[in-house]
Amino acid sequence: MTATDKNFLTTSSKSTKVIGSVALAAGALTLIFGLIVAPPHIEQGQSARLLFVHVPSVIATYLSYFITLVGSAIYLRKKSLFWDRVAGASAEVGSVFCAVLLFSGSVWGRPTWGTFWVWDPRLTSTAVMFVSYLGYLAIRRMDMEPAARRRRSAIVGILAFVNVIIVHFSVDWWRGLHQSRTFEPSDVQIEGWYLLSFFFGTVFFVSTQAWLLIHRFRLSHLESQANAAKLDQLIDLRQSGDLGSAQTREKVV
Amino acid sequence: MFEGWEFVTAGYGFTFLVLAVFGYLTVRKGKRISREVPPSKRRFLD
Repeated sequence: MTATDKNFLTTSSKSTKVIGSVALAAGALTLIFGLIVAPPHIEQGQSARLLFVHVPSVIATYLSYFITLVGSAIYLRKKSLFWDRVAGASAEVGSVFCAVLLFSGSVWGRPTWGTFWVWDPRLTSTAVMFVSYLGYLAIRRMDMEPAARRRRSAIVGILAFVNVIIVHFSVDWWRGLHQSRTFEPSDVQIEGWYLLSFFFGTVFFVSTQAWLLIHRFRLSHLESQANAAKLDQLIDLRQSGDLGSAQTREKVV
Repeated sequence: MFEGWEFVTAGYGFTFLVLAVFGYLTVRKGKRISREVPPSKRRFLD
């Protein structure tokens, strides 16, 4: 194996190393500023520090699911495998961020509302969003003809985004326990150390999202290539008449 | 003085742990599957 081959035995590259370094630095700054430098909130006390992971996790989730929407729409139009993989990888990453957002919101709700969970419109629609994208990922793993599976998952990837819009506007459309949107571009309600900590938290989540998306996309590509390589091996074995051996089949499959 | 820190610790701990584990498992699986793919098919990294 040559040095060049070794370089390709990973999903990493120069770009992911740069993005990963940014994510690590921003993560460290989020911890320092969010847990040490920023003072406790005058009303919420220490629990307000959860703002610096909870709201950025919402941004990363929305961004991931939006990429899934774009990837799905382009796939349906161009039948491009690239965009199908982008959509799938982004939904995987988005669901991890959605789990983080549900958990961090839940532990923030306990000291603020007195309960970990309430069937408030924002919380309920977020839970539905999480489950619907898990459903999307399940469709991507269904055992069926690949082109049909890609088409169906693309349709679900588009339809599921409707719920993302419902989540975002749920605090305006219905009355609930959840506060209204924290950030309006025209009316930013935090300042000083809180704003700086929030900025680091957002950089951390968005760079981590980009890093994970690239790695998951490459992983998806490699899985597909590995399956194709196995199929080629099986065809070669069949042509050579050696497929009958159970040991040989086990080696390949 | 320490009121509320348990929730902050749980929220931050879960967040960083989940992201770190997911990232680690992704990279590890990528390394494993890369070995099953012929070098000519791994050129997406170029």
